[in-house]
Formats: sequence, structure tokens, C-alpha cells
Amino acid sequence: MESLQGERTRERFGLALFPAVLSRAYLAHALAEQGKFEEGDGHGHEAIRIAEALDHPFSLMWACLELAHLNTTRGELGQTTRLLERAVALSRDWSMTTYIPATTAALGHVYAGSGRTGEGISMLQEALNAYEAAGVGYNLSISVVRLGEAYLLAHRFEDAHICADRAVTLARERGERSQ
Amino acid sequence: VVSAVNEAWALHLLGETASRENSRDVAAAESHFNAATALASELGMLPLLAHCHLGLGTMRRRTGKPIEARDELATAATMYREMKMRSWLEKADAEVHELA
Repeated sequence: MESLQGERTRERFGLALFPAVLSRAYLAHALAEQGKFEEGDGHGHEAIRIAEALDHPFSLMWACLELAHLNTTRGELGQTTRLLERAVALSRDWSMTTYIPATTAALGHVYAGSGRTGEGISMLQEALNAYEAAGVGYNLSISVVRLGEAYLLAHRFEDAHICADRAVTLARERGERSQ
Repeated sequence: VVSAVNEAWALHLLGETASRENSRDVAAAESHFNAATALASELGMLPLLAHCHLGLGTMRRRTGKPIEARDELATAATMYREMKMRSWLEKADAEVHELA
């Protein structure tokens, strides 16, 4: 990321996304998981600023999604809704088919946590159906966790348990860790 | 690493579902929370670690173990405060208030 400053923020290096955006967005995500929210917030906003300056919808969608993840982890759902509505709109308007389930699931999760439980669960179910239809694995297990958390909020404990079991299996099947 | 992170969140959800009133299974919940805690500690996932303490504390309060509950909830509250996770801190404080 240190090398992707100034003019180099405008280079793609043959990739679909601008690395200057992606590196900052991923860093924001990782720092959120560690609870380093203020540091991550700075990188997340910088990712959005660069993506907007580049006028690149794919990079911008990604930047919004990862800053939203940081806010969701911190428990600040108010700011997150706007970011995710923007990410969903970008993924749909620009036909980023592979990423529509991820943005839809993230927004559904935030809706559920904001008191719009039924709407959130519907969006999460829609996202999971889309994952299966498209054969997309990216972020599937965490989206199943999010649906389970939404079921908990709706006091649908059995459904939540099924999701939790499935998410553990999916996460382990994807590779890096097994028991 | 992403799969391990997602697995940790999934284990925490298993703990939450096992600890709920309608189908409470304390031993299973503790086992899942402990597994999530171990993974979260290994990966440095402090917010999830705090959630595990909150989940354990809440379950212990509800199952009549106030001393153990207080320890877990105090740990969760301290972590949320340090990370400035205000809405989660309010939830932990509300559980401590229930103990009193």
C-alpha cells in the first residue's frame, strides 16, 4: 500500500480493480477484525476517495463494502446502511453479478440489525439463493452466519442453529483450517 | 485466513444459538464459545473475543452463576470500551445491570 501513492494510485497493473483502492479496503477490513477501528476507518475512507476520483464503479463498490464491514463490526449501523445501499446499487447497475449476493447479504444483515428484521432476512435469503444459483463461494460462509444472526434477532433459534452448523462446515470446506 | 475468520464467527453463532432459552444446552454453548474464543485469540480478533465474553457472561447470568457472569461481562465491557464499540458496551452494561 505504501508504494501505491500519488500517480501510482491511477495504475491498474492489469487487474480488474485498482490496487490502491483494494489494498486500503482490505486493510480496513482486517483492522476491523482486530478492533483497530479508527486506523481502519482512515484507510476505508481513503479507498472510497481514490475510487471516486478514479470514477471506477467496481473499485468503489468494493471500498463501500469493506468500510461498511468495519462500521458493522463496530456496531455503528446508521452510517453503514448508506454505504451498503450504494454498494448494492453499484453492483446491480453495473451488472457485477458475482458480487451482488455479497452486497445484498451485507445490506440485509444491517437491515436486520437495525430493526428491519423481516426485510433483512428476506434479502439474506435472496442473497444465499443467488450464491447457490451462480455457484459463487466468495463470502458464502460469512453470509450464512449473517442470516443466522438475523434469525436469532427474530427468535428463530432452530433456523439460526442450522445456519451456524452450515457456516462452520462451509468455512472448513474452503480450506485453510479443519479439525 | 478468511476461512478461519469466518469459522470463528460461525462458532460464536453456534454458542449463541445453544445458549438461547428455548433449547438451552449450556455444555454445548460453552464448548462453542470456547472454540470461538481460541480461534479469535489466535487470529487477534478482539471484537469477536469480546462478543464471546458477552455471550458466556449472559448465559451464566441466566443460568444462575452470577460471579462467573460478572467476570465475563466485566471483561467484555472493558474490551468494548477500549475499542470504542459504544452500542456493544451498552449491551454489556445492560447485562451487568441485570446482575445487580
